[in-house]
Amino acid sequence: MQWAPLALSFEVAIAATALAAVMGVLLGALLASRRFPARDLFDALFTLPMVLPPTVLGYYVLVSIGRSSALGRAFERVTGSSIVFTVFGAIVAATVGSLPLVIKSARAALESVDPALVAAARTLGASPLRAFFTVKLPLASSGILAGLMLGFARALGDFGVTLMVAGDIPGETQTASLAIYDAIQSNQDARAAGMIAVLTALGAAVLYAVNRLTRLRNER
Amino acid sequence: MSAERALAVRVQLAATRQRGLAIDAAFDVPPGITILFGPSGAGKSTILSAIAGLLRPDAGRVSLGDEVWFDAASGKSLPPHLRKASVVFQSLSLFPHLSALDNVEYGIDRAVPRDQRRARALAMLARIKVLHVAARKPRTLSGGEAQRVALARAFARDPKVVLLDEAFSAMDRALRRSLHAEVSALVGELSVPCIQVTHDPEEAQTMGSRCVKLEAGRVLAVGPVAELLLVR
Repeated sequence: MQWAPLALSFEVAIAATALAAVMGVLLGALLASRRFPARDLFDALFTLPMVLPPTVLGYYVLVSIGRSSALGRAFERVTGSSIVFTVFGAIVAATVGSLPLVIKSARAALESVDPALVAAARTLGASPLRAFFTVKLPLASSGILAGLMLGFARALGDFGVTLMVAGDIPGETQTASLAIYDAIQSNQDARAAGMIAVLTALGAAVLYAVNRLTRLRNER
Repeated sequence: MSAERALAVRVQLAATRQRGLAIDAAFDVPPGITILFGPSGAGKSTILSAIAGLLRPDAGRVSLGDEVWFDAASGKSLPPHLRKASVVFQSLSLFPHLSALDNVEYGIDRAVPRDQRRARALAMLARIKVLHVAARKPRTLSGGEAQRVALARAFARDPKVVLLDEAFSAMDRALRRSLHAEVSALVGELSVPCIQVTHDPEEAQTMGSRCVKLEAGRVLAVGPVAELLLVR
């Protein structure tokens, strides 16, 4: 049983979910706002990671944060290390897969909040920002939480994009899904068994919890 | 307390697909209760939304004394949260995730210290006879209790204008009378303009004395309830 790849997977997935939470709620809120132009076009754009092959996504990520990109160079100048082939790359890779799930559920959850409640908050002296944070966001929270859990499970299991962007460096960027691949390739199935069991149990637990959350929301 | 100021309303709206009716209404609301009476679809709720700032008229002007809330000519439109107009919707729109007390506290000016906001909210709940539900969530309240909490929320914040959109329509007559007494007392103390929308002549007669009669988006007549609603 290898614990290091599993531990790394958790660290990466937690960081990726945090990133996806901030960006996903922001973008979901923009898409849910009726004044946002061409929102269905942007929705399609943000959903692309769910349908594109990991190699294509990995290519885009490499182009945008690789050592020759502006973003990659800025990161390297500040931190002294590149993004690609480091744990930061793994985090970015995991975020790409989980972001659409968070955006989708945040948009749906925010859109399902009764607009009359937001209007009531505005007439009660709440600025648009206060109405969002004190009424809209709390009422959408169970839907957003469900999306974050799905996003976390997705980030935990990322394979293709992580491989392309962060490589498969044992002890550095080798996450559980990469370690499972290596173990099975080298006929050491027993080494993978523990990780397979943990990832499966976790996936099942997340889906169960999401169902419960969704039911809770519908009952309210 | 603000000096006695009348609300001057002039609202013009072109017909749209959602609202198949053009609106062109002008009337004044002095401090005290004014009934805005008309059949369903006469444009009553739309006019309230325009006064509260939830909807932007195509033309017209809304002002409270010398305070201009909306003026199409100069393009000025004060956002709803700066108008201090309390609205009680027919749906009540109590925040389901907040207790009755937190609902009432929500509207009180954030510049007031927290403990004073709480004290004011409690006092208003007590005054309107629902102190016992302060800690409860809206979905656990009876219809009458929820109505009272919504009224407490509208009045606890020292509104400059109060807009009641069919707020009593779902009630039986006895309940309506008892709430009417509370509302007229509060409106009298605050000395603010209060518009009460209704399509029910009986409710109009219990609740108000001054009446603006609306039909198909236009003001038909302004005068005492008794005269306007009995002579048909």
